[in-house]
Amino acid sequence: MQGPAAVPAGLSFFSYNAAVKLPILKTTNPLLPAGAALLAAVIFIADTFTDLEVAMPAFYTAVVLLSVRFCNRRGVIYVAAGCIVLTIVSDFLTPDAAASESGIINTVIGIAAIVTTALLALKIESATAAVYEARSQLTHMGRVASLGELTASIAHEVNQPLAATVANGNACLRWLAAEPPNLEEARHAIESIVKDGNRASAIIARVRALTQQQSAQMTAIDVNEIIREALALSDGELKVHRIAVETRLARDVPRLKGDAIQLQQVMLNLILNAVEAINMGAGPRQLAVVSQREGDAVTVSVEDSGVGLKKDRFDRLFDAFYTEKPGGMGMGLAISRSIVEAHDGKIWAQANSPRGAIFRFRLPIERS
Amino acid sequence: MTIKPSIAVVEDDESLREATVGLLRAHGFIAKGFASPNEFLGSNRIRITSCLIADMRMPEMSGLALYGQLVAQGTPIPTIIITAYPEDAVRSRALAAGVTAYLAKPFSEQELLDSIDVAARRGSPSGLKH
Repeated sequence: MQGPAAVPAGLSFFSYNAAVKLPILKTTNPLLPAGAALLAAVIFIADTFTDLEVAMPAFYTAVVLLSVRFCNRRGVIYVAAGCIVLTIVSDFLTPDAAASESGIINTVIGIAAIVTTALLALKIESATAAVYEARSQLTHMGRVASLGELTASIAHEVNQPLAATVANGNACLRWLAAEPPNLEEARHAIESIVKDGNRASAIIARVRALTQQQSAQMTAIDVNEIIREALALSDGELKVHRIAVETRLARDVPRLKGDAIQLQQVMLNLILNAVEAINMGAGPRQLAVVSQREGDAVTVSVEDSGVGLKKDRFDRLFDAFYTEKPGGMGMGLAISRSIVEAHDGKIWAQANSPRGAIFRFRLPIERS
Repeated sequence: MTIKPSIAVVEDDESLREATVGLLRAHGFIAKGFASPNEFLGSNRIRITSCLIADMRMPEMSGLALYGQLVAQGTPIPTIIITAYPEDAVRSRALAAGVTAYLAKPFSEQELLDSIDVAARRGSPSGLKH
């Protein structure tokens, strides 16, 4: 998407949900520009060499509309200008017809249609950009909200290596102060300090990655790696709530194109929801995270043993502001859905057996 | 004669467990680490342990529950709870239950040694050995 676009004040959260399906990425399919050029050539030939009593140049609007799919704003303007030039050139090649009254009217109609179409296309384009920007801001807010929920357990995760570092540092001082100094023990303590320092900084790096606000970065990603990162971030939370985690990750999962941070946010959301559902129930405390290759797609499931879902509510779960949790905002799953759909994927919920819920999302391996 | 008490460290985080055991050994204590409450309960070290340092939040059983279990089975050990989630309510509950000290991670060397000192006094009725 071209350039940053400000979010219009009138753009409410409600409209974002319906709008996320708009194309946000330019296609790189080379057939599209070729097709547009061919179409323009056909219209030019028809306009120049046939004697139809219609405003042939009006059909150039189709070329302009096509160009929106693969051009930036400036490109669309150039394409529209090119179409106008072709219209005028055609008139010069057939001066007799062009000079007629209907010829002049056809040319004027054609140019007016091209200009109007280009203006409308550009307007839609900038509205799409605004929606996209709003969506990415919402995603960011969602990430920050999840991190808020995780603050206590992240503090715990950092405090563990810190406590170990302080203890090892004190032990080291003690070994060095001994008569004679015990260098072997001191060295051992310092090695542990280095290890714990690295462990703490890895936790901070994970948190930083999630709080950074950036627009979608589509790269080749490993779904299993995303699952492992999300589980590492929520490790403290899972431990505190004494939840047994089982991971079954498929080995044959190919890399696919996506935004690692956004998908991690989806995972984190589903895991934290599962923790809450388990806490609301009184049954066993189990969570399973599964990745599977299914044909030309990868499916990820988060299966909990919690309170489960009301049967007739499965569809509404992903609507903005719908929540079954006391004190819930109802944004987490809506954001998750918008992220998965921006990846051309699908997310849904179903009942788990014998209790609990399964949240599942599927991402295509090949994306157009 | 000064007898340094034998200390058990029950902590599921391996690196913190080893660091704590190392620090205690540097101070001349006999210290042994256990990865879980059940590992400690199943060991034959309960009778010879004069001070227990236990993490509050562990998967099977909290440090406080471990202390309660030891009291219930008639083998109480002076216990120091360490936690990365210090909470006033839990502190009051722990101290009321008879725990010697409730330390927030990261704890200082001095507060740990002071707490062990208090535990040693509580453990031996004469209270003067250490």
